[in-house]
Amino acid sequence: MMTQSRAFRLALLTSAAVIVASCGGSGSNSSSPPPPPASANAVTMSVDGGPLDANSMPQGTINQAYVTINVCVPGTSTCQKIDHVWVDTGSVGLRLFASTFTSQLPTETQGSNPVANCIQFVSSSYMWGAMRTADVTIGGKSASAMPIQIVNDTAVPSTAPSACGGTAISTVGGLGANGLLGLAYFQQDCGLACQNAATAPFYYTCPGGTCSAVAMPMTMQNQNVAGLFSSDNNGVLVQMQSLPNGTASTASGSLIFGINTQSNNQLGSAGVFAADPTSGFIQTSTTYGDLSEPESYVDSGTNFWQFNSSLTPCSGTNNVGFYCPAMTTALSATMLPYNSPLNTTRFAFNFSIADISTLTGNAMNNVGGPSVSPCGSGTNPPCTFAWGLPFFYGRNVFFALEGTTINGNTGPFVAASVP
Amino acid sequence: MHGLFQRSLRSGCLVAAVLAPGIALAALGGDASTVERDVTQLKAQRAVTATTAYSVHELQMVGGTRVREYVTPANKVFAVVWKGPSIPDLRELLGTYYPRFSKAAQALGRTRRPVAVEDSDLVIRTGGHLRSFFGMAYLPGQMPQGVTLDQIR
Repeated sequence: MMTQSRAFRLALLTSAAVIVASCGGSGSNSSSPPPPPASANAVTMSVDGGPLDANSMPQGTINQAYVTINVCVPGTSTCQKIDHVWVDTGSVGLRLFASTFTSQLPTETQGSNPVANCIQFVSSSYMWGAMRTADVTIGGKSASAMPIQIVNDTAVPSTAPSACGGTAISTVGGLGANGLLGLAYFQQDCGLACQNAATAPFYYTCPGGTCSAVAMPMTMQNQNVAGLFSSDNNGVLVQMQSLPNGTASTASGSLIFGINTQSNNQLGSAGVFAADPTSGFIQTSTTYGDLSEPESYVDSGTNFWQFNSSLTPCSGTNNVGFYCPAMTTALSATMLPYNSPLNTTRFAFNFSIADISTLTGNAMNNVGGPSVSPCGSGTNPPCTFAWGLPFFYGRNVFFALEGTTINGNTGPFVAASVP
Repeated sequence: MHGLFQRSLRSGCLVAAVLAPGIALAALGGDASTVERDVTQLKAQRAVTATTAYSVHELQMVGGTRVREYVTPANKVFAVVWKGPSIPDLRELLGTYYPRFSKAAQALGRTRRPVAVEDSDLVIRTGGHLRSFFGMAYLPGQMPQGVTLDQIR
């Protein structure tokens, strides 16, 4: 599963290092990195190419933002710092790879059988592993005995049920990270459906090596750590530096917990876009491509602007699925709440798309690629605009948890500072 | 068809389930042949609607994901669509076409993006994110005459 990213990386390394100016299209309002977090509710984020591989070389990830976390056996000082945990506002839960350390964490069980979990991603990939509990500290914030997923855990069978999906993400290289920190605006990865009934493909027990779906109490499911803290627990703010040149070898920022709870996480004049409480989707409208994208989302785990347009797709085998326009192209997309037009909030964000084959660096605000096409309201599938990590550079992006109310706005919602 | 059905039982999967007494759904391109099964045993709610051009077999999975299979009068599945909190087991739903989907998925590497196949004989489009996925697959050469894509939803 590394083929594409290697090819992608190769193209970057061998290209003629032409850096295309971004036409100032990102709507950035500051050219200096934000100051390093000094507050208890904040931790430094970095986009730096990822963890080192076996040859001490970075994985070469693009637009993957990481934090370092501290994980402990519950109630003890047996702990491990884990760097390069990927900040993902598109999933829920903390997912790590098995190690001698993680084998000391208590398993979650049902009827004395360890519980296993599966999470699906749109790319038909999945993560499969055992459920354990850990004390998790991020910056100065801690959650006690939080359920987490351990991939490659020998407490459960190594092979996932067929229903999980196609491609197992089971290595640091496959994920491009030492772990995944899911901070989407839901509190659990599955929620009430999995508490009410044995629901495939989420939670399983595997007596005798045969896995069957089991119902799972909400408190035992994978949790959004942001909702577990004793304070600053109504959501997160992702604050990445701007990229005035469009690209950079590295970029830094802050992951800040809470919204409107401290001086460093104020919504201020940010636009607030209500998300569908069931699906999590917001809407997007464009004057090109699909015109209306009712099933859109803001996702730090998607590493490019993903939308349909007439921009030239890259040719050849490198950079398949990305745009390679002859000239860097300035565009705009309007973000709308899920309940538009009843809810009249809207804002047009500017950005630009460059020829990815000419870019270098691990951080880029100007890379894009097509979404599912064709799509439309009269046919399947519906249209999508995915606001990936490039959207986050130079901007405050808030994710308010379901069930919260902040400044009169009901979660779940995404909010973004407007230029 | 029997092989498919047995496989689904072995894996504990409910996707390729019986939708009506005496009718089991097949994978894309397969036959919807007759099998004696009890719907309630499969924990799936079913509904079958039929026009002269095709019938639609709708399966409501536990957890809320909805699968619809479109079947020709000659009992061939020519399209499958899904929508809901999880991606259904596409090995079951796509059957012999699954390897082509899988190849397209693996070509994505670690980039998070929807899987798509756009061939003359097979079209697959997918999308979504945590708690809300959707997708469709159909066989352009096996669409009954007069049936258009916007009827497949």
